[in-house]
Amino acid sequence: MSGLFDKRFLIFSGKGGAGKSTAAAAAAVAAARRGKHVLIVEIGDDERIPSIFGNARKNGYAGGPVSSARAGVPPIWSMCLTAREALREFAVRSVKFELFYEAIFENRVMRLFTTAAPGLDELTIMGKLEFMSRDAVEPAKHARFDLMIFDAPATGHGLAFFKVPLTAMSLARMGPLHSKAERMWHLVSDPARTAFNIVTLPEEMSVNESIDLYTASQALGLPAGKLIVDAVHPDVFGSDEAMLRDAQARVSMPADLDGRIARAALDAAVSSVARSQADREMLAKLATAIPLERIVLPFISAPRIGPADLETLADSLDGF
Amino acid sequence: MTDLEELLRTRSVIICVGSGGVGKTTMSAAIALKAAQSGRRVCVLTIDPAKRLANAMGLEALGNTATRVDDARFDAAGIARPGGQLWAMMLDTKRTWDALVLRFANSPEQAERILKNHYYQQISTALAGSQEFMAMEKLYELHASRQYDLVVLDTPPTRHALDFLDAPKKMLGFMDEGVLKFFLTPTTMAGKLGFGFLRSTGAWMFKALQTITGFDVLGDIAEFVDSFRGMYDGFRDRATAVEALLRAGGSTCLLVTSPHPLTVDEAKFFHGKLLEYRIPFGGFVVNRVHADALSEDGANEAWDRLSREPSRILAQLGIDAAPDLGVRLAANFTRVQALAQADARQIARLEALCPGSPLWRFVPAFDVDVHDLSGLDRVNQHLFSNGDPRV
Repeated sequence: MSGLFDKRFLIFSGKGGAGKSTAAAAAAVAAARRGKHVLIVEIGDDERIPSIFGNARKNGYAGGPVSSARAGVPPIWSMCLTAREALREFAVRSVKFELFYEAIFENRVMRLFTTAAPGLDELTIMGKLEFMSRDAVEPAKHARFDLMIFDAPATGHGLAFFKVPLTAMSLARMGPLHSKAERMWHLVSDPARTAFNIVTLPEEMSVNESIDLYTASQALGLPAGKLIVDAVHPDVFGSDEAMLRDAQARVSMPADLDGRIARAALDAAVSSVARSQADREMLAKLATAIPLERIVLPFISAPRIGPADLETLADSLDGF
Repeated sequence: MTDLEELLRTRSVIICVGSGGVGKTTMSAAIALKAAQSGRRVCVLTIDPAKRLANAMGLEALGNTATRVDDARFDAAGIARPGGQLWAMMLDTKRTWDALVLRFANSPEQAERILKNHYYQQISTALAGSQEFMAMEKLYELHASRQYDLVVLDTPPTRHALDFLDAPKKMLGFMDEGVLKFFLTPTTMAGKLGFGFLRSTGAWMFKALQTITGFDVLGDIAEFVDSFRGMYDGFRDRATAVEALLRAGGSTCLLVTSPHPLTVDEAKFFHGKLLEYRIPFGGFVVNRVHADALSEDGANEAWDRLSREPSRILAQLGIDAAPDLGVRLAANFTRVQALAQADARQIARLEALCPGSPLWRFVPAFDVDVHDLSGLDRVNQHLFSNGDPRV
């Protein structure tokens, strides 16, 4: 079984809110600890990676560092792609005439329709990823990075994003677009370069979607990576559960304050047991349905994940 | 201060809005259950419910038709049969679009041309805003059917408030006459596709787009635009009616949130938008709140002392075990209390950010997901408690 960081292009996919961005950021920290130069790529209008690293400034399409260098640990970079900027870059590079682009893509009506043009957004983003993977990631000639981590869009539309190169290849049977799409497909489907990792929460909806996502990604031919289960509650009471439940049934509401507080602590313990058990049921369900190596990330009780939490989460990724 | 029971009694439309993952579906279903129990005929329109909750309400698949939750399910859950009726429906975006096209098409041929169009299929399934638009459409349809006293809408998990409120207008943009002209000028008189069409500005631009991307979208879009001629008025009137329904006195919006800093930020933004759009605002439901178990006078000080002597905790509980269990009990309780304090700070922040909310309700974080009717009943004990609304 290959390691989490053996590949150069790591995709983190999963349901919205499952902790993809957090897992991607933690993976970047773990890889940087091994001396790797890491670029995290996220997409959309709502850039989140820099804030997870505690930076108020966003990096945008141009990209920038999110952490500073330490001994043996290179700085981590991030960038945030939007389809519009990727399309602009692509069009300008292809036609080498910016005015032409302005005329077509900045027109109000055209924008209305290009936002809905089937697969156009996905294609341009994917094109940019493929372009960077050749230009900026090892073994490229002047490579700046060893590893590109892609915080993929939520699975709302299934694997539509990763299917786009295939669609494009069938639409354009030859010519420049066909070969571009072919290169994109080779990147995402290449087990030597790429790993498709699935991030999930130990909750019913998230688990069901992840199982669907795994099946669909296998059918499509994406190289399987790891299954990362985020926010798993610790099992702190283990075999003491019966003793706790027994005490809960026995102790009525005490008259004195200390007794009432002890009782509240007991109730909290039984709740934690129930949560941990529910998580373990979901882990068991995942284990039967998804035959990938599993990485469990602990539940972080801090309201906002920050740099210190990333170090904790990266510890959990270290053994992989 | 309004109370939630009064809203349930007097309103005909309740919309639950909020960020993804805060429990909108659960709150919508719980509110609908309560209204049915108090004698009203209620339909809850859900978007993407968890499988188990959907099954608990008898929703096996995307039906796009309302199903009545039958009495046997209430009996099995051990809760009282409602005096009214509880209906539930899962939105099917595509089917709702198709029904709308069929309604406003001037002929069956026109409808068929649109339904078969690839570009239409893309818009009606994958385009951002499409689901929101159709949720509003279905809400309007259910309300107008007069089969229900109350319709509760569980809104799609939009990332931005604007998506939800602007969806109808944005989607109408595709059918706007100005857009048609852009495509059809200067050959409108010809009236059909052909060489003339390809000379229009819009067509020229699509040709260029096609050259760059290689996608043959032009034909589909041209046909789509052409097919929609004469239907715009119907769609616009409908969107106007939907907007009017949202603002009507019989409607109210509940903002569901959790005490997480990010969702509190989003709730504040959402609240501002609702006011800006003049949508009647019913109040806040804060879900997944960790209760403060040390709210009693002197409790924090007492816990400080007690937590330093873990064996005394065990003694208080009459548990005969190694002191190590007391240490773990103390550490766990400290962690849970930290969550409770963080939640209380976020709730205070939300109250300061959105002063003058007519209603505040708090629902605790349960140990396991709510996934059945008795779970909804448990939620309602907090949503409709008569005492202190705080947990």
